[in-house]
Amino acid sequence: MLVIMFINFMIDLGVSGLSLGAMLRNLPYSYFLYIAPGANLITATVAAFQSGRDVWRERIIQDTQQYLLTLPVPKNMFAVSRLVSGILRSVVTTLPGTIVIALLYGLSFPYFLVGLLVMFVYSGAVAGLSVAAASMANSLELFATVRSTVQVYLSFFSTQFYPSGNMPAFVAALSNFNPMTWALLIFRELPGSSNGALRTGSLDVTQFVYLVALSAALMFIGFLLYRRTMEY
Amino acid sequence: MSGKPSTLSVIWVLVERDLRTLVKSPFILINRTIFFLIQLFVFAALVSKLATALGFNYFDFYSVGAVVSTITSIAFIIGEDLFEEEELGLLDYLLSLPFGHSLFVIGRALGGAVRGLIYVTPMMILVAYVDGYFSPVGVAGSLAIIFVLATGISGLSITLAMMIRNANRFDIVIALAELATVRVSAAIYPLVYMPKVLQPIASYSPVTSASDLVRAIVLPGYTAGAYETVVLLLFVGIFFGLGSAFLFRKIEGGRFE
Repeated sequence: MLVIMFINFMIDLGVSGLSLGAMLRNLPYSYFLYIAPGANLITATVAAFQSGRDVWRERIIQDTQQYLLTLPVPKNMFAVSRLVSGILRSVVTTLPGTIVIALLYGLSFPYFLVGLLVMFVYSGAVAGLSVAAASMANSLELFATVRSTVQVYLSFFSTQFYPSGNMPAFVAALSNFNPMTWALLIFRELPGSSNGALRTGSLDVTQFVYLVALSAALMFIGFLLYRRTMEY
Repeated sequence: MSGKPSTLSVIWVLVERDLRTLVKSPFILINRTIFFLIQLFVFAALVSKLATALGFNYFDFYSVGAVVSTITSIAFIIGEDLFEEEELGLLDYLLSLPFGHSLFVIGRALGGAVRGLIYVTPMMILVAYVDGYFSPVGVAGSLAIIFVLATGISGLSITLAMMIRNANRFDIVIALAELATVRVSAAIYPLVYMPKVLQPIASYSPVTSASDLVRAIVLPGYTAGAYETVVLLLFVGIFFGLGSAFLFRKIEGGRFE
């Protein structure tokens, strides 16, 4: 699974990233480096939704949720642990990708760790969304639809492919409520030896606070919805 | 009731069943439509603003690719349907119905392709309109090319669904196959900008062939011909055959859980 996910990431980065980067050579920065962290964040989203799919399968297909709830673990702890496992699964799955991005950006080890932390916090946001989707959907169709909608929102209504200055006002406004926008902003601003042209020097702790706040809110929503499925 | 149902009526029943799934799946329909519109009017429009020095209109180029990549991703759904039917034990029931298994494969692949075609017909008309192309015959020709591609992709998807046993693995492999068939092709960027090592692979991609053929019809200055047609038909033939072979092996081998 890890290998397949890494191949997925490499196709995103090595095929689409390089092709779009070659096509947009007229920009003052490397477009390939600009979109590279987005490929890793999308892989994190896919991995987190795999965890959501497990939750959904337990509820709808395998009917094992009731059994799991009889185990000697408080329900709140059970729900939190599923979210945390989704985060860890996502961070581990994207670890090779995070290393690739760190190498591409020429990050020092401490900044690589900051990048890893960003992946952790971002994974919290998508784990929350995936568990929320798994808790609301009673059919695979609805779960797949929500998953796809979330991925579209994260990809196209964020700064993954274009700077916010180029966006129409409503897209720019929506992108402010997108955890990917903040994760990308922090990644691109990390001081590395190869990403100087991407950096605007605007990195401060506020951006990290935004990312953490969005992630915490989405995890809380996921927790509440999952918790609700345990009461019926 | 007297006699065996005719081949055509069996295929029609199977296609109709997949079409009913389409009607019963408004979420997917709405989602794919919104996804397509966002791809076109957000992604393509904004990237076109960045791609000002290309010498061609990237929005027009991408618009055709968006239709082709949408039909590709929709055609992959038929494999997901088969996998889910197997998980729920419904496939066993369907295979016990009184018609040949070969008809079952043909009907499902055609059902997937027709379903995809219904999804993308309004998208194709919109793209033709946005690109300033107004010939109904040309639009019909483009839809025919897209239908042929969808039949092949349905075959590929059925093949994967029959080969893989684990749900998570299937999810990831199908997403990977979808990603690879669309990205390693000229659907969303011209071959010349792809990494050199991938250009020969992408030139044999059915998605490249379908995109080139539709662009040659809809957009001025693009050409395509016999080579693209042959690649597309070969792909359909191979995966239609493979899908059938794997399904047969599964059906006749008694490997159901």
